[in-house]
Amino acid sequence: MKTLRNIFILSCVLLVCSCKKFLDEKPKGFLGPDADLNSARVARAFANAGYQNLTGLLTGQSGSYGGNTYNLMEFMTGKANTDLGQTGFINFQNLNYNNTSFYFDTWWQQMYLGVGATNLAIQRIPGIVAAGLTEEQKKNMLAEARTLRALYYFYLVRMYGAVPKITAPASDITALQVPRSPAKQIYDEIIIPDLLEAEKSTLPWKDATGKVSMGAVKAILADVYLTYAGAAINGGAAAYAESAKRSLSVINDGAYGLFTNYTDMIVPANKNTGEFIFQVQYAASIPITNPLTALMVPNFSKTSKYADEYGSVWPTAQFLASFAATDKRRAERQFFYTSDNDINTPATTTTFTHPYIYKYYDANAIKTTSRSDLNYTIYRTADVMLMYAEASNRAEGVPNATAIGFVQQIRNRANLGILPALSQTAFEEEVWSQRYWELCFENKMWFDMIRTRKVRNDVTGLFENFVGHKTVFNATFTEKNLLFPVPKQEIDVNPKLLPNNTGF
Amino acid sequence: MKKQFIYSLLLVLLSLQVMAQSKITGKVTDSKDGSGLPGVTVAVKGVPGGTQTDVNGAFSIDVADQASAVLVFTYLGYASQEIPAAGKTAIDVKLVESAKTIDEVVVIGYGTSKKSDLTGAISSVKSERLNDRPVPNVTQALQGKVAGVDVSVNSNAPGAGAKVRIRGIGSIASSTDPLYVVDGVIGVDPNTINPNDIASVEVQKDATSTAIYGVRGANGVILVTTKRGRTNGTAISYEWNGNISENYRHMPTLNARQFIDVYNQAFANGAKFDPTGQIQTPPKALNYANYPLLFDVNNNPLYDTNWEKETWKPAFSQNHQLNIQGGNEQSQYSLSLGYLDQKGLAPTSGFKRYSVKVTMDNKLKSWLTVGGNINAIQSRQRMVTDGNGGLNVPRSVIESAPIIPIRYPNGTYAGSFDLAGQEGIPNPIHIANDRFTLNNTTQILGNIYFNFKITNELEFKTDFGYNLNNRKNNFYAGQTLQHLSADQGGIANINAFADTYWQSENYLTWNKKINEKNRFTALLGFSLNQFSFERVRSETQNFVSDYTLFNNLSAGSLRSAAESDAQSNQLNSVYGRFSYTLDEKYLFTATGRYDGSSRFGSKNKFSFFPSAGFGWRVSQEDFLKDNATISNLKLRVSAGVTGNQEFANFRSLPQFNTAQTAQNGAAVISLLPGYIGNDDLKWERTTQYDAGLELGLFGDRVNMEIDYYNRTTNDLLLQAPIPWSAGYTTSNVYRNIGSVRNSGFELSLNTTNIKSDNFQWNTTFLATINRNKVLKLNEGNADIFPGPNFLGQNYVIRVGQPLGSFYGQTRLGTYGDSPEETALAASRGFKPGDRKYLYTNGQPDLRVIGQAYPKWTGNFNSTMRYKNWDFSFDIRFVQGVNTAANFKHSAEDRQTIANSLSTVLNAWTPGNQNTMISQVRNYKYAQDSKFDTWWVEDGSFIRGQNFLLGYNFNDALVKKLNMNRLRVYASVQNLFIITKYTGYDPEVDTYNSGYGSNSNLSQGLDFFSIPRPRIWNLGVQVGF
Repeated sequence: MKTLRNIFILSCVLLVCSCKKFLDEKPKGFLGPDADLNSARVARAFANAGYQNLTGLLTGQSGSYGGNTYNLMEFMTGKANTDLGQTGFINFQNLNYNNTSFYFDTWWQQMYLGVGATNLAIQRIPGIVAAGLTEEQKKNMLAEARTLRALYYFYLVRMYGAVPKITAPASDITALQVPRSPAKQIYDEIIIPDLLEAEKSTLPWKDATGKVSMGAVKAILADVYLTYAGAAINGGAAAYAESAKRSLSVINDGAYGLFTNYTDMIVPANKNTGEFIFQVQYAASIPITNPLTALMVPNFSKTSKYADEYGSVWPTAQFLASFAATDKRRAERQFFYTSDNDINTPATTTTFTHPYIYKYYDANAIKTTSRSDLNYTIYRTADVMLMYAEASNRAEGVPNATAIGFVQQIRNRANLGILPALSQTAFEEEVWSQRYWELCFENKMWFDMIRTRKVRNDVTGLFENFVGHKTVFNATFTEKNLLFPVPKQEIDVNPKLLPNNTGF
Repeated sequence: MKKQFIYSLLLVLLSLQVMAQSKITGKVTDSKDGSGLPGVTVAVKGVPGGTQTDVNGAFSIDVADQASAVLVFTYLGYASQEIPAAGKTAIDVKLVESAKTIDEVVVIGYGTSKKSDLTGAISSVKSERLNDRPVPNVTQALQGKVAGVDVSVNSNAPGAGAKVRIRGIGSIASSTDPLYVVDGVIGVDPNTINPNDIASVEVQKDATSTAIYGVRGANGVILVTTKRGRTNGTAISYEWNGNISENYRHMPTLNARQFIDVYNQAFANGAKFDPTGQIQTPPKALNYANYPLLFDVNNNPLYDTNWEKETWKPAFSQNHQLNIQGGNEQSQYSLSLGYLDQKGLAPTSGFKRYSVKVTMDNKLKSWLTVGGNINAIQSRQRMVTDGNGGLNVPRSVIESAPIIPIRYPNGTYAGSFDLAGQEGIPNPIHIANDRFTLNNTTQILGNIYFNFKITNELEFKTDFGYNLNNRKNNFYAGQTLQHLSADQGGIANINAFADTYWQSENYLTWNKKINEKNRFTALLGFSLNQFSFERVRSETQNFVSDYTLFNNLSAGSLRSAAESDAQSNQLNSVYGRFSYTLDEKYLFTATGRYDGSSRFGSKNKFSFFPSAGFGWRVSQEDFLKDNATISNLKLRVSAGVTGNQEFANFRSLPQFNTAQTAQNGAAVISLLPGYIGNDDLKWERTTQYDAGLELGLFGDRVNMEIDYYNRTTNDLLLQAPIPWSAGYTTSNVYRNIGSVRNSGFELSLNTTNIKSDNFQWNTTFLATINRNKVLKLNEGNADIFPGPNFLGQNYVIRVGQPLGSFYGQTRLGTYGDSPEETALAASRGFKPGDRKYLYTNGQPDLRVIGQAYPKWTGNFNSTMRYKNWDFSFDIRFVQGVNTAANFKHSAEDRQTIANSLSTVLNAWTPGNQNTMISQVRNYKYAQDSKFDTWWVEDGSFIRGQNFLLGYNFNDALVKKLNMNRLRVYASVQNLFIITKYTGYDPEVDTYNSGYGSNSNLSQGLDFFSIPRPRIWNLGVQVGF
């Protein structure tokens, strides 16, 4: 009996002591540092990541209702209004915003998430050696990632000026508080070199799947040089020539042209084709859907399937009045609309109290699915044509025939007459005006205003200096408004960002 | 072999029968009132077995060797008596109720101890006190019953657990929940088990008590011991109670007429706040023409719905409990069945639990005892209030427009979404019916043990414990819920978890009595345990009908989520304890545990946690031994180190995130920088010192216990925000950021005020004072803002301040319209009627404006017995604490898009300028709404926790009914609350209230909660 007992006890003791590798842990549910990342699929997944935060251009603002990063760029212009108080509109209407106001935090966060994702891709892809992955494919993936990194930084410097320069994924948590580098340094050391590097790739001129194409690389580069030449950096006349070279190449070598109808832009089947050069990708089936469709539907109009009809952004009466009376873009259901059928009784037409934006009207989503299938356009041909007109006019001192031709194409589509011969200055103002009308509510206007330091007065039709311009809301732009404040929540975590921009 | 065994067993039983020689009979009575005591164990000293008294206290026992036999009478709560049987055939005994609590045996880690031998601070709560109120779980039951233990019942959803904090909070990112050990199974969520199955709860507070649990001991340890079998025959008890919950607190909102007036006034005021001075008009005026369903032809509202009254309806709950306990010296068993059906104030909300527990303890051989238990629990909780900040039921109660009915005459739900320009929350009844989560839990918990008696002094126990928990949370939100799930065409998801825990605990216990003056107990053990979980989540949207709910995910056209995960973590430990008693006066205890944890980085896998304690029983010294006043005096001190590892796995490793990105009209997978990782992650260690005094006066009629403690947590873990510019999708990292100290006093004072035959009166007063202070923060002691960020940072972590410091602006009032005030307001971008904040150096002042954790808490309990009646009450005090009424943002600062609290009737007007409420205006020009002193209110309160009146039927009647106990009682919980807080209840946390969640920095944030009900209760207890 005693022997039995002792054997029993001993075996229990041994059982306890026999597990050696018991404390080893291997993550099973995520890719950790030990995971094998050598494959063509992984390389593609790193490259894809760069696109993820392009949706940051249309990201909802936390704490708001119907507020979206998009709103900020329109609210700032003084040419937009809203149905919603929860968008924080009043702070921008009276230019009384501060470093805790809406959108500044989300823009900052989203653009840097994009920088983080592209930094990871740029760091990892070169080291991947895998079957079925050619050097050329790797080079083109890197070109995609570099183009996107440049684009994210391009947004950051235009908004905040000097920003932390981060070119590799952070790994040391004690080195995360990076101070700001001047905007010019970001252009010179990241944005322009990245794009020039991407220009050397063999990316196709067009990419119907929505990835970065050579057309996109050059369109962004054209915009970057044009901005670099502008008031914020004063990069010099050479930059205008560099810009014009790229924009002309997009049209001539890339064979990009205009859609026949404005409403071709709100047909989901046309995504990534025709006039579109580079877009944020959405797909109703996934569903990763474009929020602007619902945001632009008049607040509580009961004209759509959406439970939330926001009326989040709409044009001021003065801006609408600034279009020529014959301008097709102002006609019903081109860029704007003033009535729609009631969703429950389609025979009844609901007329709105003022026009709303029609540029994001996905009819199928609005009337049937409440899931928008439209992409959001970052660059399209009309934009690039106008960039060329502006840059070449500056570079060459006079408008050349191609430049005039491009502006004329845009006027023709709007049913505007033949452009008379114009001086350099008059031509430039014509180009700027066309940008206001053609690209309105596409998040372009604010960047044009701070790039040119001019604002078109909708009432007088004259271009006034940015500083001193009084909006229709009786608010006056000052130096302070040229750059956004660095968000307080970020400064709380990284005090090295101080001092904040002038006025904050 | 087996046959032989059975034969010999039969022989033994037979021999017991035939050896019967002389019979002794008698009666055992209570010395106090002479009543018969049923169930008293009567045994012959040194002989196994014995008998017990019947319902009248009568017994009869056979004695083999009468001349030398000694009868032993034992009964719980009474002093044992030994009476020689020589020459007697009848023995009547009067048992005296034992006042001496020091003889009490308490459960400690891996063993038991006499309370008098303890060197640590341990509080014990027995079943009767624990279950004096009908509550669904043990954490709620503990509220107000142990000094030093702060229990906050933050959610009033049925089945919700409470937040338990022992001696303050010593962590931020790690859990601050105590470690729960249920019948030896470590790390169990105690909220799932039936509190009526619990025999006792022992709270281990100081280091000498908790260090035996090493890396898991820093938050204190709560040992739960469930009921087991008896050695003396069968006892059956049954209890039923039923109760009605009702709402008794109110948050007045605007009625229909006031709503319309404020709405119109707000638009009328709007032009003042529009920079261009434009006249502001409602999207659609509130009148018959626009809303024929809501107004009569004279534009009077048809409805005036009081949503509070329509929503918080009385709810009936009941509980059945059956316990059978039985056995003899050789084997004991117990069986219990429980059924709880709890209904909440929120419509359709409820909690149902079915529980079965079986225990068995068997002395197979003189050297081997085998036993175990199985506890099977199934529960189902219907929750209608998920999603803090979302459009949930409590929020809808306050924000739904009063001019809206629940349903229109045609039967369809009405809602604020029917009014143009409203935020459009569906009405609370609609949400409660059409949007809910069913949390289904099936749990099997228990252990099997073998106890070997190697020698009379040395025992080895091997205990295999397990806890299998399957949770399946089903969610559905219907197609008609505007702004919630209408756009999606209905949303269904299922979240399923399979948790598996097992442990192997093996320990030797050596009880050695060296001589009369020296004895010790030594313990040495080793253990292995593993916790693993798997999770799967699926969601689909856009259903053809609401009918199938979440029961047919494939009926939805859009597959919106499919996720899964699997993780596990392990511990491998060695532990020991040595307790030495010298001369019954001097007590020494040393413990140590060497823990290896898989969560530790490879450099830090193992850690050692030592402690030591010393006790001096002064009353055993000669100079006090026979003192008439002081019956017990003990001093004790202890010190030790414990750890905390209760946070997510893999937090030191960098991680990639996968995400879906749209490309070419479909989804492609992206690899993103997910989590930065922290190779230097260290583990929180808490050093605790404790000094205690135990004092008994007048034969222990007055018992007092005072403890001072000081616990410092170093390498404090924080889920610290990192700059967004780092580019990681998880914008925080687990870091060791500093040190925090909790120090305080605990007092427990128990007095027997009156003690006579017919009348007894006892009172217990518990009080705790805790001071929490952040001692150090890395990187130059800079402030840390841990979130949440709700209209400003709500908390700050600042050196010199406690954890849980609210941080915000100071509201002074509103700007008047005098020229000076107008100019002052204008200089800051405001107008008369806007709220006025304190400014320093031209900037809005931000400072610590309140504390989420109380300065002191207390509980006063009184129990009176008069003949068959008993009456008791509990009053709870929580003082020096703030509660942040975050709901004031939504309900005071958003006229024209939601209904408001009636406080807005006192808003600024030119004739009412001395007010804290800014002028009403349409929401487009909304108030400057900031987390401020107007929201952070005084959250102190005094609550009438429980009042209970009971009646025990007298023996004659009980006997006639073939019972041995019949008791009825009535009680009321939450009879009153005295507080200045304007929300439903100052004891609240709507941001996070679950067990195991890191809710340390959301205590006291109230963004719409369910009111705490007053509960009227009736119950019956029957014993056979």
